[in-house]
Amino acid sequence: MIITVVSGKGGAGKTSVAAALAHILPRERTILIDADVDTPNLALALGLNTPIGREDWVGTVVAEYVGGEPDPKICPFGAINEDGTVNELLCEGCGVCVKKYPNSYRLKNIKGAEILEYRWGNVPLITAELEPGRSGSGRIVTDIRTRADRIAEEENRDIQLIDAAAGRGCPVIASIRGADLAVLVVDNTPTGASDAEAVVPALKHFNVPFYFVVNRYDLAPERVDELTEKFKKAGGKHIGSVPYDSEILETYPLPAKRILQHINVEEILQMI
Amino acid sequence: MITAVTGGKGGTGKTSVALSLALSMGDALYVDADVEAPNAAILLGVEMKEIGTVTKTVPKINEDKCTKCGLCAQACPTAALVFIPDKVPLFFEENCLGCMLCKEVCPVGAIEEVEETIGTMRAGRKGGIKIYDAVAEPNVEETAPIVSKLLETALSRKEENVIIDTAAGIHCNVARAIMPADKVIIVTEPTPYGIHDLKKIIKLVRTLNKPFEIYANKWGISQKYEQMIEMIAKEESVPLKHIPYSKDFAEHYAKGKFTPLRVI
Ligand code: SF4
Ligand code: SF4
Ligand code: SF4
Repeated sequence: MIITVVSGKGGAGKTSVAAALAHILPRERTILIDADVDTPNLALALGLNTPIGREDWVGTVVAEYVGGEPDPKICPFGAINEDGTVNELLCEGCGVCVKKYPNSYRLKNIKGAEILEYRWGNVPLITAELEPGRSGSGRIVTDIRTRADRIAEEENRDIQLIDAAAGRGCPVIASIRGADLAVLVVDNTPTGASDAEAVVPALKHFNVPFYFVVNRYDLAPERVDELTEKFKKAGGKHIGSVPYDSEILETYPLPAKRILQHINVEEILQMI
Repeated sequence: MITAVTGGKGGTGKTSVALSLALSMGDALYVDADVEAPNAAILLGVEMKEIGTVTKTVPKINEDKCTKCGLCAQACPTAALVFIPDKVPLFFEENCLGCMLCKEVCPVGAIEEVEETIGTMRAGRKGGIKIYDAVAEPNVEETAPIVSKLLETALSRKEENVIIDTAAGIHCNVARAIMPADKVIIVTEPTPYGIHDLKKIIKLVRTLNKPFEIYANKWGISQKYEQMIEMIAKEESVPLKHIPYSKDFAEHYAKGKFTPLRVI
């Protein structure tokens, strides 16, 4: 059983909901995955500061200039500077430069992220932290999920809870793939609906049924009906509305119980 | 002067700060570089008009010319072309970088370049503020080229005051949006997440060699984390500004009434 918590845009309350849901799942059967490798916060939300394992992820491929005639124009991504050196943040690792100037350029693997493993009690939490400015986080998500699958198998854990990446690009798709259920967090702001709607096509594409939670409903209660109608029409099921609570900001680990008061988790529990 | 407003984690109030800044200038070009969820136009209630598309170059194999040699698949760096003996190679567009190495190596010239639309650029105006943004096509996985093209288009106007509102996070789309800036404003908040992500975004801004200031939003909610932000600003020797926490602002914002933030 794989449950993915998604939101479309960061800051909607996705991690808070994921952390709260972690509390209702049977601990001996669960593994947690924070796929938001860009800004992974699930460990913090659960009060965890120190990983028990770290490892470099060196799956990022970039070109390196080793000398010879510089030719900035050959790079289709504008990653080669005037002096021939490579701007690693723009390089896609395509190898065009290497193909044309095998003596001047070569490809190398560099660190694109750090893979982190935490334990929340005995529940494993797998995540990674992207190196600033890097891309390829879709592949990192896929890799940490493979790793999580392995641990889940070794430890006989049949429930995976994934805090998905934000946005709707490659990393989000990598977080949704294979999920049995998604919990979509819709922020009650003027842009909350369009942010959350952006992930719906991906959920549909992968045939993932979804429940949704409206966050900060009390800030503009007059909009809640419209939001719920919209996401019901999109095929979702409304399982709760969480109030804005400035106190929550100050309390870490997050007050999961208080969040859970507002979410109906019955059906999720029946499914697992 | 090009100022990029960025924030590490989402939800720190980056867009609110960026918009407040633009409004305070009166005349400004506002580039919303969060192409996966552009919000500024919605917040200001601006009607946006399409001004152009962003395309990606992908290969197209002419099946009549192809001799099924497989060289293109061998050259492809990402397995976007997969060769099965005696068949025209299969193309998986989502993996394609658009580098055209395949075209380069094809011995019979069976590969041509075609342009696929991956996003739409838009523009709008509210008072003295011109907004540029872009929307990625629903199934596009790699959105960085849209960011680059949007910036190129908007910056070619050579406006005096430019604000670039970056996406959240520290990934390559954010880096691209910071690259053209003269100065960076990092918006953070006094929470453990805020601190955690502040350190990472500083690392990115340092890597890109840009001067920056820290704007701490929601000031007043946690002394402990506020002290930590003060310490970070001191260690980095950069200016720190505060935006007092206000539930009213949150409420107004949620109701769709954008009021500029007070920065002190
Ligand atoms: S590997 Fe590709 S993207 Fe990188 S510098 Fe060479 S040509 Fe440019
Ligand atoms: S353009 Fe580059 S990435 Fe795309 S199929 Fe050709 S070789 Fe592969
Ligand atoms: S290199 Fe050209 S001829 Fe050979 S398989 Fe590819 S497209 Fe066909």
